[in-house]
Amino acid sequence: MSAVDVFEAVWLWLRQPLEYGFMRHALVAVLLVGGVGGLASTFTVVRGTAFFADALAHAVLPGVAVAYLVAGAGSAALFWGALAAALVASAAIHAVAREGHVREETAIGVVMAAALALGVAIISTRRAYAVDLTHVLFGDLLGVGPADLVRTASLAAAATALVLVLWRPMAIVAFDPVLAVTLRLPVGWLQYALLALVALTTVLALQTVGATMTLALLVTPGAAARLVARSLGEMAALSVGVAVIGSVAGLYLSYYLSIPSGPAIVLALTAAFAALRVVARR
Amino acid sequence: MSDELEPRPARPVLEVESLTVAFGPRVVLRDVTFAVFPGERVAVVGPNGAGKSTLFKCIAGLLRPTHGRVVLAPPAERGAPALAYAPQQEAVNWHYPASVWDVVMMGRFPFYGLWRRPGPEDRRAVWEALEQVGLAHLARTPIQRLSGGQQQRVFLARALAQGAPLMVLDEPFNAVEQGAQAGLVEALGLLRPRRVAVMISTHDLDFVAGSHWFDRVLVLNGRLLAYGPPELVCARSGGGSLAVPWPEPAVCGGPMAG
Repeated sequence: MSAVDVFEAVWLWLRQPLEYGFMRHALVAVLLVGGVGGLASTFTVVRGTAFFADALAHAVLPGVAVAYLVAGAGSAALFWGALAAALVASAAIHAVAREGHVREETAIGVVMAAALALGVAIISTRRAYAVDLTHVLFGDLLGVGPADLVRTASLAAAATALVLVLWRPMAIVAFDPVLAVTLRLPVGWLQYALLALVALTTVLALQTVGATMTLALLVTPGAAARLVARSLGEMAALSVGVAVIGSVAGLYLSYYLSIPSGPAIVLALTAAFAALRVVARR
Repeated sequence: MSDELEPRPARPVLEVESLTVAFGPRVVLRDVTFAVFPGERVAVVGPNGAGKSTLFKCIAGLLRPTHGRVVLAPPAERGAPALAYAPQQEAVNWHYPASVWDVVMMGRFPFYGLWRRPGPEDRRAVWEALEQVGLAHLARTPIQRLSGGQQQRVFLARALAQGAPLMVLDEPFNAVEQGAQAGLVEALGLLRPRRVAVMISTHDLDFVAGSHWFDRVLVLNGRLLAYGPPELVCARSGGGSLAVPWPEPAVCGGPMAG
């Protein structure tokens, strides 16, 4: 087989799934969510807030459940319900840590458990949930419609703009919050902005990888990039690259191996992490 | 370049007035009053739990006092912060992906801000600071590869690059290897010609009492027990070193005395 034949075979392999409209939508969705996830995971990894990110992914459940009760199974309603729940849960963790005089890690545990329980309790009042709930837990990439893409694209653009504008102060807060205070930076607002970035990523990732595996998007790309990056900028660029490539690779794996897209994306991201680990060791 | 301290000018760089800090019913600092003047070297000593870190956090604005106030002189240079604060080393994530240069440049943020790239002024300030603390050859080194003493000197370089008139260092000698302390002290010696005051908390009483490096010693144990020149403060506690428990209150010299 000549090089041209190989090239053509690969091209066909890549192009064939995109004959379907739903696969084209899915591809755009994973590109957008991967990009935001790569940015968010940079900060999650350097700040060591993986547990918070995981908690947030689970804490969206009651919001999704309430949205379902009120507005039915439309993906827009579920999205806004999830986003509201993520923001409420973030604020609750903050409040429990401060008012309850407990460590933040403990507050995260308390709030995450409560939110999960509340979500399950609300869901159990209805019977017909099973299928829609599965979509929230494991992602529903093939159900992405044009309206979802518009929403995802605008929010991804807003999140990216936020990070680009606040890049330097965010980098300072992530390294040394004490320096940030003495430089009179608005540390509280910057921390809220970082929190909002994680919350937004979590909710956008519900459709692509689902609540159970959002953590992979918020940790693995950043962790992989950290292995080789020498500066935060380098790390963010690499992290976005890993997240985007891993997400696209996962989508193809999902198509050709007939496995759900969520686990396929997570496994592809993990493979990227392992590959960079090998590169970094040399 | 004389190492002598000039007579105290009228305007202090730091005034702490009746500072009281309580966490619920527990009073950590009670009614602490003192002033620091440009170019002075002040050692803050006291047993563990004496409130040294609490005092530093109040000065740095990280902690709001329950009563009293902290007044910092405005910096001479536009954009410079009123003080540079180096926390205890454990407070920072040393696994962060940044070079020595990057960390020192963070201190210059108020000069270049959100939109502009660091300019030649900023690069010059960072380079000078790194040369002064003897880290210029490590400018491109990732911070995670540094030794404890080198990490402390990165903080010092960052504080220098900030151009602040007051430098507050919490236990800078703790993580420093034997022998490296002398280098750090030498680098700190550069502050006096620039009229930068420095406050250092330390456990090394022999150094405080024996080296004649500090101009003033502040003895803290929940309240201010003594504040004055080392000869006077150390003499009161008998012998060359400060003994714990601390002697009766004594404030020697300084405009805030009495």
